[in-house]
Order: sequence, then structure tokens, then C-alpha cells
Amino acid sequence: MQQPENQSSLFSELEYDPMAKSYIGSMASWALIAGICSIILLCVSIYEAYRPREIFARRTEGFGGFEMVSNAAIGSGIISIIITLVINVILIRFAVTTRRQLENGNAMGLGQSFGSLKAYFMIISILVILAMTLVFLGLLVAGTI
Amino acid sequence: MEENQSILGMEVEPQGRANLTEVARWGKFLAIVGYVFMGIFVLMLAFAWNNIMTAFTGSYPDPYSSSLVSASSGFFLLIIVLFLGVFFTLLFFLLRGATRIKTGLRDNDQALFNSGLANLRNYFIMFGILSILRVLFSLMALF
Repeated sequence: MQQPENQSSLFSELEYDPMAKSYIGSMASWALIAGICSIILLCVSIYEAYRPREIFARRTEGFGGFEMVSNAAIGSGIISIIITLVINVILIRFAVTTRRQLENGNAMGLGQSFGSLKAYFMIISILVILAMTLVFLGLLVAGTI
Repeated sequence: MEENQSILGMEVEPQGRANLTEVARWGKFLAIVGYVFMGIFVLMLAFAWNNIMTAFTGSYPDPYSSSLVSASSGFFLLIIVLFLGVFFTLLFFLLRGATRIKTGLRDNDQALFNSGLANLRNYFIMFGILSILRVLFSLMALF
């Protein structure tokens, strides 16, 4: 009978030993750096988007159609800003919570903080799939495939 | 709270175990999707390579600049290979980390679990360094 062997897995034998804790701590620190960098990058992109040259482009074109394109660009820009912000806030929350729980030695809280990392990977995966689909559809429409 | 801590250290309790399993699952999925994306990109590049080369040579029709063309196309190829190499390594750490965490949790293997966490840490280190570089380059472009 293999029952006892299976039953042993019901009781958690794994632990966050000092090595695991050091890896998780380092992971959280770098995740925090990556999250903050992405938000800085987002701010730089927003600043770049609202530089005076855009006003110049509008003046030279001056057509209603261009205004429509510009509005669509603003719309997609806002969506991408929100998505980037949400993703990075989740990553930063994971990093901050993990570090706090490691300092407190709270295994329950540490386990819960991995929920944010799960959400982060899930959102990124879905976005990558969406991007791949859009690229594929774009190529199909363009007739290059 | 205290009951979650064994004499040796903090135990991986059921909630943490479930979350880490999900992290590993989604991480593995993301890495595989990334590899597929990379493969499609390489295939597209291979098919479009002749067109890219024609675009390069079309800009410099005289024979004197043929060496310049080959040098610039070589540099272009080098940049692409560098990017692909970095991307491959990043995904490799993620895939290996996710796989080892999942197996470590399933088999209650502490060494494998730690190794998975180490790989995930490497992934975040690389991701963090790339993020810093991206910020530096964007700031350099700004000023």
C-alpha cells in the first residue's frame, strides 16, 4: 500500500529555511526595483507623449481624420498606462508584503503574499497571449502570411 | 501565527503551498508562451532576412559601401542575437524555477524547492537589471 507515502504529503514538510528566506528576500528586493523602474519608465513615456512636438503635428495636419486618430491613440495610451500601473502595483505589493512578512517571520502572511505574484504572472501571461493574437491577426490582415 | 513556525523554521502552510503552485503554473505557462513568441520571431526574421538585406544594400548601391552594408547588417544581426540571448536566459530561469518549485512542492523536496526559488530569484535579478538599463536608456534619450 502506498497510502502512508501519499498521506505524508498532506502534512507540510517543506519550510522556508534560511536559504529559502534569503532567496525570497532577494527576489522581493529585485521585484521592487523592477516595479519602481517600470513606473519611472511609465512617467517618462507620459512626459514624452505630452511634449510640445505633438501640438506642432496637429497644426500641420489639421484634418478631422487626424484628430480621430489622435483620440484613438490617446485612448489606447490611457489603457496601456492603466494596465502597466496595475501590473506594477501588484508586483510592488508582492515585494513589500513579502519583505514585511519575512521580517515578522509570518509563514501565513508570506504564503498569502505569493498570491500577488500569482496575479502578476497571470495578468502578464494573458496580455502576452492577447498581444500574440493581435500581432497574428494584424499579419493576417496585412496579407504577409 | 506562532503555530506556523516549526522548531527549525517557517513551514510552508497550505495557503502558501497553493499560491506557490499557482505561481509555478503561471510562470511555466508564461515561459513557454515566451519561447513560442521567440520562435515565431526567429522564423519571421529568417523569412524576411533577404528583404532586410535588400533594404540594406538598396540604400548603398555603389561597391565602395558594400563593406559598410555588411558591417551594418552584421551589427544588426549581433544586436538581435544579443536580445534573443538575454530573452532566452530570462525565460530559462523562469521555466526552471517554476518547474523546480512545482516538483519540490509535489515531492516535498526541500533542495529542489530551494533551487526553484534560487532560479526565480535569478529571473527577478535579471529582470531588475534590464529594467534599470531601460530606465537609464530612456532617461538618456530624454536629455
